[in-house]
Amino acid sequence: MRFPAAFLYDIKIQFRHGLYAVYMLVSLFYIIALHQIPEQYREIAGIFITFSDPGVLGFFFIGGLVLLEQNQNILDNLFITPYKVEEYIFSKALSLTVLSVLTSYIIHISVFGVSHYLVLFLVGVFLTSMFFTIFGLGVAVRCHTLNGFFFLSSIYSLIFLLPLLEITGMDHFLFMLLPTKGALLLISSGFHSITTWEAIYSVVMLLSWGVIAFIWARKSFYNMIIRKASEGKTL
Amino acid sequence: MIKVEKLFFTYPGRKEPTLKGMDFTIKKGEIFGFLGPSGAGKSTAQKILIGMLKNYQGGVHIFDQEVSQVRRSYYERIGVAFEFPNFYQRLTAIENLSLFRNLYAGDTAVPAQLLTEMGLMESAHMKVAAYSKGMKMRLNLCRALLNNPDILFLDEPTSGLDPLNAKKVKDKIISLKEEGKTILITTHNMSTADEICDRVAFIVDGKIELINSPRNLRVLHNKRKVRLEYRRKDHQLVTSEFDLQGIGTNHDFLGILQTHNVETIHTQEATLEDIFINVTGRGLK
Repeated sequence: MRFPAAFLYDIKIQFRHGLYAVYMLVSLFYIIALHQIPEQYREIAGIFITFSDPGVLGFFFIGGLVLLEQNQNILDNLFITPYKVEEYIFSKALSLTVLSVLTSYIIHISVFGVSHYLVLFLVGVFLTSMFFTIFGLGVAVRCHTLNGFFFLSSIYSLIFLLPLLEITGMDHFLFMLLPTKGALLLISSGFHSITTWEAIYSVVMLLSWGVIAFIWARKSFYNMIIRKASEGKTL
Repeated sequence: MIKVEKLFFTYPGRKEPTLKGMDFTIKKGEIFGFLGPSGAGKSTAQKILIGMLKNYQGGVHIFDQEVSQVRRSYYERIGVAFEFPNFYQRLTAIENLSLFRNLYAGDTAVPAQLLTEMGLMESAHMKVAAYSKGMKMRLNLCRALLNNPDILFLDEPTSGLDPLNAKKVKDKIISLKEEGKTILITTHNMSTADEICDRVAFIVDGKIELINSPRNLRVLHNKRKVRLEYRRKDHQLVTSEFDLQGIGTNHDFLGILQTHNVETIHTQEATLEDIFINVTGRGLK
């Protein structure tokens, strides 16, 4: 039962580092803030907040968690067991996605109530978080410090944030090729219905980008962590 | 169990190899010690044996397979305790062990039992961040034993331990040997090696200078002298040395025994540290 155990312990470690407590407060803040926003802007603010915080939180927190394990030399100890890199990546991504889905759900139902579109909304948050967390892990293994990670991650993530410009009215057909477009569509389904084709397009887009991010993160992990260790550089 | 032939290793970016042609074998059920000063290549050799460093030259056969080719299932059969005991600081000792235990597919030891054996059961629910270095070292050994490994690699296992806990660790290592485990210890602590190792290898500058049992080494390098300390009639302390050869008929020696108050009497056996310095011309620190 290697993967379930690793996954549950990842959640436990995040809990002990206070991530859950912090996000309960952050959620409370968003709930209060959204209630203060005039009703006609509340929906667009809800989409923007759900995407940019709970949806993408894993992207930033994965950096802290991986760098912590790297700096405390925990990785040495993990990888002299049968634990596989693929399991490590999935466990980290899935555990942070639990927090994403949970906080998105709490914020949404507290501000907008329960709607029957919620499943697609949560699928959107789930796929968005999985993609961004795995992508963030690929960035994190290239860094040695948290500052370095935040610098590099803002560069790496810039292109994926471009579809957010739609909110200001700017649009471009190339945004369709980015996972963020699909993420925003699925998250918006929590507020108004989207077409079946839009739903299929969004899920396929996020899954495809998720697979690309996974292949890239796994390759990065091998190159930056495992291969360096096997060449004699410290992890 | 472990067979190493003509092992060379050069770290990337360095011209000089760190390991320069090591040859040794370790039998099943043996406690084998790598002894040498810091930077001699002990830890590098250990990292190769545990499959962390793969781009070596030469042969390293463990469980009849080349270590550079092993799959992750190899880690089901070995246990490793690195010199620096690193754990998840925010988890308790028992949580750390449970986490690592679940990473193995095979039969595993019960963490509470290991903690009891190492005298840590009372602190089992304490976060590792609050552990002392000595406690972490013992916890490190517990973690290495979780998967009931056939081969155990221990780097400086008694470092930072008080004599009582060092004895606890040494006793555990000896009992593991009695269970048929093969144990490789990397250390610069000569007295630990002397007490528990069946054979030791002296490593200096990436080469093995000598392999033998601590007892054989002591006999071979014995000065064959007896040293006495005794009080003269005026109460002054006097030290005298005599050859062991013909000691039973040495009149001076026998005279002292009969007429003086002898306080100490010892054969002048070389310590492992003396032998290391004699053989390698180097100290251990």
